[in-house]
Amino acid sequence: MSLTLYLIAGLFLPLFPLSMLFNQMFARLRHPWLRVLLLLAWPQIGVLLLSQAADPVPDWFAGWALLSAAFYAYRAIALREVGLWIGYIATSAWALLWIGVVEPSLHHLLALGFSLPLAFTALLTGFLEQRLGAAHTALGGGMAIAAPRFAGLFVVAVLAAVATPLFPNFFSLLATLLNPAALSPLFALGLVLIWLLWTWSGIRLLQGIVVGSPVRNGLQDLSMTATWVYSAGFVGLLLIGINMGGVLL
Amino acid sequence: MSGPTPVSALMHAGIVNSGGFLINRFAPLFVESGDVLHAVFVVGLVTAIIGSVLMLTQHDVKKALGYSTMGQMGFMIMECGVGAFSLAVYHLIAHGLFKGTLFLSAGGIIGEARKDDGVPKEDLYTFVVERKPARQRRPWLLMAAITLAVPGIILFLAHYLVEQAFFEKQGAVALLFFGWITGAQLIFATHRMRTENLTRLFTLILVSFTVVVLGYTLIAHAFDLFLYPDPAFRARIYEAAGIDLIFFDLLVVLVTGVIVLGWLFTYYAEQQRLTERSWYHELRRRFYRAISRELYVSDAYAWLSRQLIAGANRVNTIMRWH
Repeated sequence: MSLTLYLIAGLFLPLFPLSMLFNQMFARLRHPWLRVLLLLAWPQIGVLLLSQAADPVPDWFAGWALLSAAFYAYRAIALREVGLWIGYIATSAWALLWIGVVEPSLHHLLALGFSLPLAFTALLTGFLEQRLGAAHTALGGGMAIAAPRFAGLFVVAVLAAVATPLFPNFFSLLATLLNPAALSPLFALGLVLIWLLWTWSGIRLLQGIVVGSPVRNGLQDLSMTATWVYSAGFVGLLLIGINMGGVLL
Repeated sequence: MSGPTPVSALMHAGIVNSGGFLINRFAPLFVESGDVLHAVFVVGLVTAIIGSVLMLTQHDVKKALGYSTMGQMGFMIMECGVGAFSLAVYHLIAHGLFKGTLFLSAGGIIGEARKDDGVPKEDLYTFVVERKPARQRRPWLLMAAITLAVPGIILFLAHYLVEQAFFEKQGAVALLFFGWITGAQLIFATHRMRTENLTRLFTLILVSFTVVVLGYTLIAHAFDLFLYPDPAFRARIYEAAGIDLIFFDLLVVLVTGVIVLGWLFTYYAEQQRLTERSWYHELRRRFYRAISRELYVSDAYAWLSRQLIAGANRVNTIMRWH
């Protein structure tokens, strides 16, 4: 019975190939707010399911999760579409929630830590999709010149999405790494490698979208109000991250 | 290196120095695990040699400065490896100041050089840029002897002034050794410079070398007293970095022998015009090709990156991007 429950949880804390369901859904959703909702709610369902299981999670699930996370992190390096990229990074991050399962309240917080920065990035990506039809590097190059306010925020959003220190997902990653239940050199190496792949894929996206010559001229930049709102949001994320660091570590 | 120059300046004058800084912060830990310091020394030595060699062949100013940083970082780590922890802190401050200045000046100098190279057509230019040394006029054996002896004497006296018992510390001897090589290399590199007054040139070289060595030794000693005021702990750091005395002495004799023979051979080869032989040119060309291509590390890295991305693309296509 527990195994069935774990496999269902594997849909929400995505384990390959069960993860394909989430990525298919995420790719189909075009509205930024629906994506935000999915990013915030999806892993929480998985954590809730895990807390209902009577038996402890079998050890081999941790290995499966690490491989799934590494697989999606690796696949993310080839992506040039921001929406898909967010889905892959989310899949890779949530799979890590299987490693060293902690008590339910902290587990929900860990999942939220992974989701929050990605939700912000998804919201900001809506700007590109509205203006260009798609958030693809082939369409949105040279944003630093064409839309400097958006470009600046996008750089911060991508840095937040790849778990740059002080953002909540960094502390979730660190808490996973330092979890006594999963403390081993192999897992530590795997986690660091996954983090490296996230960063590489993020920098490739920034190279494609922010730098270079503008693909399209006359693009309307983010309004000042929206810029301030997003900036305040990122400051809020940092504060949440610092607070989470205190709770999780 | 494709980033903005101020970012490079910040990186090379700031973040990269963290190696030496962290080793200093963790000094009590390193004292308890002496073997690690030997590995630190070897890593630093290899990095210093590779970084410095690569720096000499780069045509791009920023790349050359980047490899110079690599060499300096290697040297800094090597200082930690021989137990001269505080020297690494002094080194990182000095390096940060001069490398930041060099990076920030690089762009302006490139811009000016596009209009006018600004280099005066004088002896120094023909010697350094056009590589046209004067024909040998001095007896090579005398020059070789001066090259080897003078830096050694200056370094010995400078260290003796600071601490009479410095020869008991292996780390100090190792650093002295590197200083000696650097000084000898300086004299060797300049001995064929065109000049009307050879005595004046050599006096200036020796005075500047003495000032640098004295300054370096005294400031390093002051840093040592400031950062590690406990003499017992200072001694423990050097002790942890030390190796078996017989092995150390053998190593010093062996490396000294190799370097002295190398220099003697270089003077001799110049005298006998061995450098004009075809086998020498071929050897030099192959070596130059390898280091100017950064030992093919960049090529291998670029190839690996392309393969990984192509592989990820293939997987994504097979999985229909889900």
